[in-house]
Amino acid sequence: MKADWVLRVDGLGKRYGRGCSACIQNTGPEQGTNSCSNCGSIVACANVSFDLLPGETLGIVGESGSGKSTALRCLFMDEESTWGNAYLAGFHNGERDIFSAKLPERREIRAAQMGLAYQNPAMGLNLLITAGGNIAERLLNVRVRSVAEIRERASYLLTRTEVPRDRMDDIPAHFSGGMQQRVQLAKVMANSPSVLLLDELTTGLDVSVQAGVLDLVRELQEQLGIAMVVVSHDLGVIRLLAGRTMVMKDGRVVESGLTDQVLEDPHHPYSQLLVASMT
Amino acid sequence: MGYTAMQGGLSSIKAAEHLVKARVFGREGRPLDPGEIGEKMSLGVDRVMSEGGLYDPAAASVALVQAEGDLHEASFIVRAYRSTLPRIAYSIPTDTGEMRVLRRITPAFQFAPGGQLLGSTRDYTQRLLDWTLADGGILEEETQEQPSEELDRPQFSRIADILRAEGLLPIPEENPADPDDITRTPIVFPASRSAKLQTLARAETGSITAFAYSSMRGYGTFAHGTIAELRVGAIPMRISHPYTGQPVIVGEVQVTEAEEFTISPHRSLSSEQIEQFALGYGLVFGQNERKAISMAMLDRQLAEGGGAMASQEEFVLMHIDGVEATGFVEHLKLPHYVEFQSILQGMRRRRDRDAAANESKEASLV
Amino acid sequence: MSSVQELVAENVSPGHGAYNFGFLDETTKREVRRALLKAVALPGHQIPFGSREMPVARGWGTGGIQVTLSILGPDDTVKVIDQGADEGVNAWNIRRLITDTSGVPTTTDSREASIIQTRHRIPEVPLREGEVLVFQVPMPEPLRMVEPSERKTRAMHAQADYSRAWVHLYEDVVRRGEISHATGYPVMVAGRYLLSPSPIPRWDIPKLNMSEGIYLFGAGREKRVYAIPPHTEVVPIDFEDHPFYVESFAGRKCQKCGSEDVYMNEVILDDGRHAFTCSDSGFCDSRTEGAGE
Repeated sequence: MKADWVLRVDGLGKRYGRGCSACIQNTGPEQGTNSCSNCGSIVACANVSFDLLPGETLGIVGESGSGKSTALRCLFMDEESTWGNAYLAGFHNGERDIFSAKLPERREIRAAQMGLAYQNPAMGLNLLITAGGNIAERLLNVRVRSVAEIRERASYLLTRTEVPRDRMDDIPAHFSGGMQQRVQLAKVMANSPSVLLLDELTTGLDVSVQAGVLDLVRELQEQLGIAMVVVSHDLGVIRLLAGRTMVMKDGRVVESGLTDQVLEDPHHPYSQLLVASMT
Repeated sequence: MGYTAMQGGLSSIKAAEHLVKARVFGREGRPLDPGEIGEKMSLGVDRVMSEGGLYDPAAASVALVQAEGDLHEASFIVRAYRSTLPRIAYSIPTDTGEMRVLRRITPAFQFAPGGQLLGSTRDYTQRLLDWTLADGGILEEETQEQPSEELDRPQFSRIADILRAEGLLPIPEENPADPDDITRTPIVFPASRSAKLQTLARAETGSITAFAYSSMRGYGTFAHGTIAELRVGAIPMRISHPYTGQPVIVGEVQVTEAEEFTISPHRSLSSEQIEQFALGYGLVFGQNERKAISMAMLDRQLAEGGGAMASQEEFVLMHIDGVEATGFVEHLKLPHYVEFQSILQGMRRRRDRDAAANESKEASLV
Repeated sequence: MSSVQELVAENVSPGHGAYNFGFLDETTKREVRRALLKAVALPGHQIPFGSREMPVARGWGTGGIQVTLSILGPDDTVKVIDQGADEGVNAWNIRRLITDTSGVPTTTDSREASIIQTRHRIPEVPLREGEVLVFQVPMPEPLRMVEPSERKTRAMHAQADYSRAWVHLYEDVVRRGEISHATGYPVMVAGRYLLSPSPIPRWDIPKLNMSEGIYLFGAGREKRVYAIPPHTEVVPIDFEDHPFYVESFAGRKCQKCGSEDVYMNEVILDDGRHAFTCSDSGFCDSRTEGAGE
């Protein structure tokens, strides 16, 4: 049976440290901490589960230390998760856990199926090769073998992300933070992944630049219909981009639902606090 | 024996000195003849002159004897000797094209005017331990006719000049300014080229070879430059005569000169310039080819910049002086017990503190 | 069980005048051959081996020498070339090490050789079945140009992740309008491993593909061997719109034998003129002799 979701995440969690049997019960929003009082391990996140439907954008909001970025990095397999499974419709029809994939398969998943844009563009880009070269890498990974075709697609993507075409052959080390983020966006979209993960994309950018990048993401959402998971500590960003939202605190999901509902009528005391602080 | 306050510092030193000297004089009570060292260990002497920063084969030979063959120690002795010498004049720049060539190879072409003159080199010999040397050795008769030593007129065209004629290498700009003198003014960064080259010229051979090597193994900007030319020979030293002001030759020094050509990988895209080679230059006292080649390579790596170790100007230039490096590393042998006592105290304090904290934690869990 | 004296007598140390056939002891040769067998079984994959110090300097052919000496037998005929020439001084030094310790005959004609050891050229005449070409390799790792860390390049090979090599080529095209790689052009072997063929000119790259003979590569300082067995597909990596090209000697002729279809040396004569001759001197000689008949 074909999955109707693009991505399914089931019980994802990550622990740092030697761990013990009490870690889960000793941590979380009730305890008000990520740190296990028994063994000192940090439970960065646990029991994170969701389905992502085609064309949908899921927002994950929470303060620093809530575990939202860790969850994203584990999903993208930048880090080894401790608990949980994840499935992609495009990987063995969603029947195989992507965390069980061997290294070459993982590479394939990260190259073709998923993309992750980092808060710090230096992590998602090679600042010492040209902007076009950064995009080329993704296309070369899926075996595009014509320089003309690569340049055409890179040029198109950079135009869409509003990077001036004459900067295509410049190295991003000399770009502003905002422009670096645009190049990163162009790069992660280059081979049309089925799922895009955006980790605090606009944090650290000037407020005026933020607006531009957010508008861009919205346009891309509307025009390309890529499914996205957007992580941010900023409710405004979440409200703008996400149809559904999960609120995280101390490594756990405390609330989830339609963004409008979560914002209008938050149930969990922490969500209420977050929403209140917005007004 | 109970504790006694430290005493007898001077007599200890003298006793140590005597032990050293006894070794220098050996069982027969006679040190090695510096003349013989200068003749039969000339490559060691050359290295000591190069790292000592003083062209004086006699002094370097004595230093080697005095240092029992320790090249760093001998270079140190020569450097210290150098500080005692008054500075009489500065030489007029010499065109190394005037070199009285003993050896000249060009890896860039199979043949270039003058040809490949191997000279005295071990490059193509097999390093098989020659035990016969322990029994007086066997010297075969030379059957081949050797060319005469007197190859004084330059018949060898410089490869660099040949490429310049074709526009493949830029013609260097005239620079009338005096070079920096790092022995008078400490180097500042960013360093001038003259300061860089001087530092490299008196650097410890092993350290610059290691950096040059690293740049060939991926920790640098070019995978493989080409050594265009390597020459070993004698060049004349000239000064302005103190009365007439005319240039006069006051002697000659033997040097090794190496030139490397590289292509810059970071050619700017917007540049309208047509590609050219860039030149790395190495020049050292005596015959020390690995040092001259490494120097030429580092001249390019440092000019090119970038993230690799060999391109980090401060990192390279501050750590390649053998006298400074060995001095500071070995200074750790000096007493450091005041410092160590302080460190010990701090560690004991923290250990006691943490042990007490653990105890009370355990007590509270019970 | 031999006595200590018998063991010592069996393994005479060179200081006392005698060397084993082919200089290396038999254990070393067996080690090297085992590594070579693995290499042949995994075309293009680099196999580490316990590289020995040789009486020739590291970087001057110790890998090639260890391979040659390990496969050498009394029935072999050996040719040694450097940049294509038998007369090169380093070729002479290596040749005499081989002959002094084995007594095998040598030749300058690649058609007569069973083993050819080469520095940075493939002879013009294609290899015959059973002929072995041993390459001296300075840098065995084709990814070194993009990644200095050995740990990382091994992982890249293991995962067939050559994306950074491809990006490197793309950047090259952007900067210079073409792939400017000169010698040692990276090739894909049997569709699986990226390989550095040693600094041979582009001219020689097509000879690697579907050869009748065996190509063995020895890197002594870096302590690797690798191989291209006969009839293996070997393809230079390039772009559809920037295909691989070879050096051009159009309009040039060898001064000595008149050949036009060979890789040539440019020499500068004493009067300043530039002239061209065959790089493969053995080939040049055979053409000259042939013409003389």
